[in-house]
This record gives sequence, structure tokens and C-alpha cells, in this order.
Amino acid sequence: MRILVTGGAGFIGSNFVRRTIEDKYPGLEGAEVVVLDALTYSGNLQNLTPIADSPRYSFVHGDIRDGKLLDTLFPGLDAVVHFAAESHVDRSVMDSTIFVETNVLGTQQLLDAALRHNLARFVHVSTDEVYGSIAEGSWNEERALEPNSPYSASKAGSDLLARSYHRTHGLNVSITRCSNNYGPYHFPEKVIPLFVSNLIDDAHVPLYGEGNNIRDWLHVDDHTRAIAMVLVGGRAGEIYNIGGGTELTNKELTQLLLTSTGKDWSYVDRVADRLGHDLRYSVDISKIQAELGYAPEVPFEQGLADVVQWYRDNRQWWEPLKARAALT
Amino acid sequence: MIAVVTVSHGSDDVLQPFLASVAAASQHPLSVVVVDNKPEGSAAKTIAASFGASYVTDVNRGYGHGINLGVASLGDSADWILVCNPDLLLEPGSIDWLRGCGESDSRIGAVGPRILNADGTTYASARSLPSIRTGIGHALFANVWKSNPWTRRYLHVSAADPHQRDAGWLSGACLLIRGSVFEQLSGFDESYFMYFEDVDLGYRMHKAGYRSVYDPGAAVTHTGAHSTQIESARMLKAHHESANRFLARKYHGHLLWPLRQVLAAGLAVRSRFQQGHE
Repeated sequence: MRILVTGGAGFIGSNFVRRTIEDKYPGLEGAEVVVLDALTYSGNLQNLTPIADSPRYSFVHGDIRDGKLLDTLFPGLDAVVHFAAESHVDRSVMDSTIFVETNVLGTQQLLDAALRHNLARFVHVSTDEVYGSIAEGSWNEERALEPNSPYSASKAGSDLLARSYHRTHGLNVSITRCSNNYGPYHFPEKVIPLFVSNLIDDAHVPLYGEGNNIRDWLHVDDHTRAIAMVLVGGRAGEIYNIGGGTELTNKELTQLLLTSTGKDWSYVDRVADRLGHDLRYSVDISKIQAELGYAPEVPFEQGLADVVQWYRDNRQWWEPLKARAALT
Repeated sequence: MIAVVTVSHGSDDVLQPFLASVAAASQHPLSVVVVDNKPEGSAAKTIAASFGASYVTDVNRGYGHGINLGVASLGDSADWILVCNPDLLLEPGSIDWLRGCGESDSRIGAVGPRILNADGTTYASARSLPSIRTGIGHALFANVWKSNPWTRRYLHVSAADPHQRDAGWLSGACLLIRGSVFEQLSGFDESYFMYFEDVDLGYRMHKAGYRSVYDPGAAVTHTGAHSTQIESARMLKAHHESANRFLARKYHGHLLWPLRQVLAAGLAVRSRFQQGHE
């Protein structure tokens, strides 16, 4: 099996690539992986160093919007797993142009290439943020989309486009919608790696508003394992929610991070809340549990402790990224 | 800061389109230096000024010397340096593309683009480091048996392949080098007049633990080997002298003296053979 992984140098994509090459996924043993990544600020070839010497892995520095390039890559492919996206909500608030270009138009280019080359299988990776905020309960896959940020709106656009290529053209595409990911190799602009890397350097951390926003936390290993399950056994045209089962307010998350780094609340600076900041996301994962037997396996406390240790041990990985993005 | 350093050797006719393509190759401010090692009667100074590039004259002590001089003339140390022949046209955005690749791994010391010949074919700009076996095989057979395995191994040709890969060395015709690595290695070895200074740089970069990465997602077009076409026989001689020098350095030491003699003989045979045919 030969799989094209877009965004495979990013946080979640590279996890999927490493685990695939390590033969961690039933049904994907021995698969060849071609990574296509534009290496924008968050793409990092060092995320792929552990498997870089595998003869089953190859890398293409390219843009998913480049249809001509896709035509050179698609012959011989059995599947595409599409991670490539602009993903940082704060950046989409400042300028949404690249979010629409990459997330919507890029997905369209991939879907069209899939049609041109009669691709057998396509998995489109998306986010629970497309559902919008929910006060109580959890969204299932039937819920109408009400995205609130330019980021989630662009992802919702790409989801609907992917779904339409199944309805209109019969493309064998499934869509996954995950909750908030965490784990090693997470770019240090996102809340957990930002807080951890700041706190272990005795620097302050910014907390939005009152910190009452609630997120479900999903370990990246659980997420990519679920994606592999969908790739192998998911049904065409179907959407699968993927959650981690640990809901925390940002305040609770901050407390856990302070505790695990031996710091107190004097290291926390309250900052004005983000525009359009959704209060709570929560996904119902009973569909993927029932159909594909998925259940999250990494307990949050263990996952978080491992992440803190990983950032302590891998300063050479995150320090240059932080300097580059001028983040504090 | 990104710097662009080129060496002009009677290159007036190509300099203007080259500099225009450089300006469109990055969205960031660039420090462009034109080193002129044949300044007599040259319009390079005027052309450089019209593009806001700085202009430095040099006596002709070779390509590596010219590039080193250009880098030394930069006020601030550069994060990345594009070393480039002037008879090239850079694709829009290509410098930023190469830089994106270089920034994606702190162990990357240099990134080379796809170099297209004027007829649209791909020039083998990212090659393996010459070894004894490939060196002798390539030297003896390159001109009489074009697809011989030694030449294929050395050239590592895979023209339309879009996959990024690590190379032993990247052509000095166009490559982006991390400024700190260029500094650490003291730039090009100036004892090579021309040819093999890039092979030598790739070799030393590899020894220092840095990767040389071929990134065909960015392309530049060679408009013609401008300044070397004029003096082909002399250039051939320079090529073989440099090849000898590189292999002698890689395989230095008393015990390898017989090997060096064999390599030198092989290169001499090739040199004579080629001269007879050109």
C-alpha cells in the first residue's frame, strides 16, 4: 500500500507517519508513505527524523494547491490522508486569506486529483471546531455546522467539499473530526507546549479571560490510531468524531501544568479573551466506538506528564522553533 | 537577513535578467552582492546599482574566492546565503521556498534547487560525493559509455523526480547555505580555481554533521554556461586539476599514494580524450 500524507511534517501528520512506518497500525503493515508538506512555519523535518532512513518513506516539499505536482505524485497511490492545513485560530483572526487558500482550495485540488487518478481511498482530517460551541452534552456527526472562527469556517468548507465529492462523484472519502490534540512534537504556539516550555524556563504564561473555556483533550497517539482505523475500515461518505474523553477548563489545565512543572499562579498573566472564542467543544464518539472499536487509550495525567518530560528532554527541538516564531 | 552573492566574469548580458529574477525570488529584503572579477570595460557596476545591489571588484582568483569575498563584504552576518551564478533565472519565490526547507531542520547546512538546462531538462545538480570506484569509473567511461553505472551513481540523475533527498554535494551554480555553517567552514576552499569547490564544501559540510538537501520544489533555469563557454579547453584543464585536488585530499596519507596516482592517470586519460573531441 502506498499512502500520500499531506501535512506529514506537522504535529499530527508526522505522528501518523512515524507510527505507520513503525507498523503500529493493523491493516497498514509494510505501507509506503510519501509525505507532501509545504514546510511553512510549523512544518518541521525533524519531526520525521526517527523514520527518515526508512526505505518506505519519502518526502516531497510541495504545496497541495499545485495540481501539476499532484499529477506526478498520484500515479501508484492507494490512499491519501489529508492533514495539511493552516490550524492556528489566533492567526486566522489576524488574516484568514491563507486559511481559505490552503484549507479550502488546497483540499479541492487534492479531491480533484483523486478523481483524475481514480484514487481508491481518501481520509480528510478535520476538527470538532466546525460544530461550533456547545453548552451541554456532545455533538454527534449529524449536527449542523456552525463554525465561529475563520479557521473553523475554512475547515468546515473543506469538510463539505469532501463530502460533496462522495455524493457527486462517488469518491471513497471519509472525514474525521477530532478534539484538541496534545503530545510530543507539538508546535510551541499551542497552549500546552507554549505553557510547558515557558514554565520550565521560569517564564510567565498567558491565560485567555477567566480560563473558563472547556476543551476535550485527545492524545495525538490516540488520534492517529483512530485515523488509521478510519482509513482501513471507515465507510465512504461517512464522518467520524474522534475524542479523548478528558474535558477540562483552561483554568484546570493551567493548574495541572503549573503542578507538573512545580510553579504557582504567580506565573500566570491574564490576557484579554480571544475574539470569537468558543466556550466549549465536546464530541460524541459513540459512532467510531461502535463501528471501528476505537477507544482512547492514553490517560490524560500520564500523557501530560510524558509531554512535560518530552519538552524537558527535547529543548533542541523546540527552542529554535520558538525563537523563529518570536513566541514567549 | 538573506544574502545573495554572485560572481560576474564578463557577464553583463545576463546580469540584468538575473538580478530582476532575484528580486522576485523572495518576499523578504535581500542583501545582494555582485562580485566582479573581470571589471575592465564591464557595466556590472551600473547594473548592480540599478537593482540596489552592492558591487565589489576582485582580481580573478576563481569562483570560490569571489564568493568568499562577497560574503565577507556583507555588513551583518546573514542567516542564509544564496550562492549563485549570474547566468541563471530564479523562479519567483524560489529563495523563500529553499529557506523554508532549510529552516525545517537545524541540521540542514545547504539546500539546492532543481537546476533546469535551457532546453527544460534537469541538470544533475545534487550528486553523491565522488569515491574511488565511482571516480575512476566516471572518469574513464563518462564520455564513451554514457549510462555506465559509475556515472549514474555519481550524477544520481532522476530528472523529473519531485522527492526531496539528501545529496553528497550540491552544485555551486546555485545553492542556499546557512550563514553560520558557511562561517564555521570558512566558506569555499580558495585553492580550487573553479569546479570541485562545491564538492569540497559538501564534503566538509557532511564531515561537520550537516545535511545537504536537494529540494526540487524550487527551480532555477540555466540560461547557458556563459563565462565558461568561451574558454572551454582551459576550463576542462581546471576541472581535472580540481578533481585531482579533491580526491587527493579525500584520500590523503602515504599509504594512499598509489591510489592517487591511479586516479590522476584516469583523469588525465579522460582529459586527453575530451580535448580530442571538442
